[in-house]
Amino acid sequence: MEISHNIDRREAIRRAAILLGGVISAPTLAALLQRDNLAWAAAVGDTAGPWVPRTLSAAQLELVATIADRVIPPTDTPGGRAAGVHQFVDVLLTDYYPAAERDRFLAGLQGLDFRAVREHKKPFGKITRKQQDALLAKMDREAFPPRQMVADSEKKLQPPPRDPVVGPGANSTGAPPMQKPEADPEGMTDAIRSEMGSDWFWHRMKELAVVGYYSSQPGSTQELRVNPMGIWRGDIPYHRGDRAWA
Amino acid sequence: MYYLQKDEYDAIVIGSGITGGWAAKELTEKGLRTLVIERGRDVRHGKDYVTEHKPDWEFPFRDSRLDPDKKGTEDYQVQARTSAFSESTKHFFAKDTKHPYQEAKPFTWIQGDQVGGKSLTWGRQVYRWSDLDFEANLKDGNGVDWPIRYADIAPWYSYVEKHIGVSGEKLGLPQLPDGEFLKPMELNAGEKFVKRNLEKAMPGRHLTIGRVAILTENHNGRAACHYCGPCPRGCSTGSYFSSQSSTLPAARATGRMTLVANSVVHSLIYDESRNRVTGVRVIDAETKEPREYSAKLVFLCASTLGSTRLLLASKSARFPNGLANSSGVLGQNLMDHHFLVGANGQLPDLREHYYQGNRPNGVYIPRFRNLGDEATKRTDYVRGYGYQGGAGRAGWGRGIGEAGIGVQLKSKLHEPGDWGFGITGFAECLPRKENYVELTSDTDAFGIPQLRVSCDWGENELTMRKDIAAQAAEMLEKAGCKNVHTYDANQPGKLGAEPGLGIHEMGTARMGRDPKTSVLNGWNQSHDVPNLFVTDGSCMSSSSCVNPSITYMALTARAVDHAVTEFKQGNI
Repeated sequence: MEISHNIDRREAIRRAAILLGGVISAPTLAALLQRDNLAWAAAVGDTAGPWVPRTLSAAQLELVATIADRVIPPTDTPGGRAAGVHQFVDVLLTDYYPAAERDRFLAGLQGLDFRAVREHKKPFGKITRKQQDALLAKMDREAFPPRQMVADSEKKLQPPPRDPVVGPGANSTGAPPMQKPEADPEGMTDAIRSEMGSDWFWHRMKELAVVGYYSSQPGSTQELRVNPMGIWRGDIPYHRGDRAWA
Repeated sequence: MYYLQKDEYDAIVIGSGITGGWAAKELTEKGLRTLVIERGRDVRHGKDYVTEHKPDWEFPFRDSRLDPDKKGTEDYQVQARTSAFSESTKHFFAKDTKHPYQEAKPFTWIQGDQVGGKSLTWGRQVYRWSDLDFEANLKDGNGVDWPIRYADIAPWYSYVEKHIGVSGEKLGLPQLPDGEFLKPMELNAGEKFVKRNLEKAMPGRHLTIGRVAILTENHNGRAACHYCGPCPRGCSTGSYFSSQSSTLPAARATGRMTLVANSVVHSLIYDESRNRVTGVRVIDAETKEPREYSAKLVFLCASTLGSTRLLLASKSARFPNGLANSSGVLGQNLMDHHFLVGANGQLPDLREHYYQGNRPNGVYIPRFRNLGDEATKRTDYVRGYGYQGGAGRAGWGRGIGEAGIGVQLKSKLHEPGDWGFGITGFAECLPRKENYVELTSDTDAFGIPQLRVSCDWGENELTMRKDIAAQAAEMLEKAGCKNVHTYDANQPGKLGAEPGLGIHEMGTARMGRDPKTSVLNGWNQSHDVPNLFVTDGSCMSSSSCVNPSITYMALTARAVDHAVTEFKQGNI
């Protein structure tokens, strides 16, 4: 039997108060919740107004949203776009990652579009969903080669992710060097070419999609379940299909 | 308050953290009018726990760890080295730009800068010392003999535990004495599996739930834990020990405590004619204006390095090398616990088992090496270590590092992954005079000389780490784990598992029997200056391998008891 655990924070505190025999009084509870909201809003400089990206252009934002929806598609629960992965990516690029990593990411993002153009003559956003899935799946397999879980006693050298130290074509997985097109697409730079020969961008994009999705409200509460506060049970039955804790 | 330039109190406590809060409680409850001076800002219980219960999605970075290379950590380049430093706890760490120090060798000094100090963010694990620890220096010749034994401190462990509430399981092990325990938290299904198999396969090895200063039952007006998970954000129900939840309210209730925040003690004022500390010079943290306070009794509880720094900086004609430093050993014998070495593995099956709630605690494997008998004796190193860790089912994070996207990925991550189990050693560090702190000629914004720290792991520590990793792997394999991997994050001369990162830094103003080789006597009292007591981690003569804070609390309560007896008899 699956117990519904779609509770939000207010409900969680309310339930905790009940379990604690009313140790938290109603006014205290109300104050706690309000304090959280006000103090937090002050702390993060909450401002009114619609959200706008500060690093990604509108086109880049749309591309990231499209990628997010391919990595975590909408099913019976929301996908990456609805969960706001693209907004999360913009926040991290602006406020979290050092500038050099931001620039690598943007170059890699452009590189993805150039790869789509090379294969399908159109940017990523304009190719079919099936073509998008196939292209990303190929990048994903290249970036995450199958690896055996080996114990220390049997350790073999694992190939590192491709990340060129020198220029284009230098990679260590044995994939053929990138074919130089007849003419570079307009806007090609060394930085973009470098990222296209590296797995770095896809490692980062996938991480952002997975983290951005599963730590979002729909990801945590609809696709998965928030592990509720209240009591601790160390050993409860698990049935196949029960959603994981977020 | 313009008229009170010199305020006279019975006692001054410098610092309001783990030990400062205890000193405040004990002094005021015993009748002394006590001033508690905290360098950092006020943090009010409940009201100022601004991130408590906030779900991940309400944090801009989803409560990510803030490493030193991330934007926004410019003022926290040392604090950002610890995994405890994240979006949800950042405001309970000191700014390194405000409280700088220097590293001759890599040393990570994690500091609080608020009322409560690190008692807000600590790990809450609490284990008593035994005579194996108190006799270690005498037996193997490292450091100086402790001036106390377990029998001296045992009643004070009980006293402290009864007030703060500690949950745990009694084991009857001589090397890890049992305490006054509330009922223990439950192991999860994976941990029960490992415990059963390990204890059967390796008699003499024990696995227990962590002993923690977290309530599993309502206690002394504080509510039992409600398993929301992240204690270090602060807990409005007071379910874990902090100065805010436990000791400061007791002190406040006496009506005899005055607490001033944003007040940086600059130096201690020493009167050579009477051989007494008469008070402190304070710099207002905001205005930088100086003030003085006086008292008959001073308890220095400013954290290990904070206290030693103040003593070194409080020079006089009688004490040119730092107050209470006739021995010359002040600043020497810095220790920390070394950790981040151990093993992880997968547990077979158990796929029909899960858990519910967010337990703020893991498992503990008590020390089984060098217990004083031939069977456990090592020839390659002295002293010992324990392990902390736990089991859990892999979460959605496992999707990041392997192939798979789209509906296939979503289906996979919809369910919990396989069970895993992992442990890291927490290990003893020998006291050595080569590990020390000294003052530099650079001062900070308050005019206090900065410390330079010179500390690294010695041969005993490095040799012990090899055994920690090997034993972790052996125990996991014998307990039925598969795909067992060992790890050791230590990189000599670099960051990774450097001294300080354990956040159990201790020593530098050690207790001892001989005033020529120690700073404090068996009562945490300065050998040199009778009305000066130092009860935080700086007093430690050796480090044991167990989390130290409960020992600091017990030493503080015991020291206050002695100090007040002496005070009331007119001896100090």
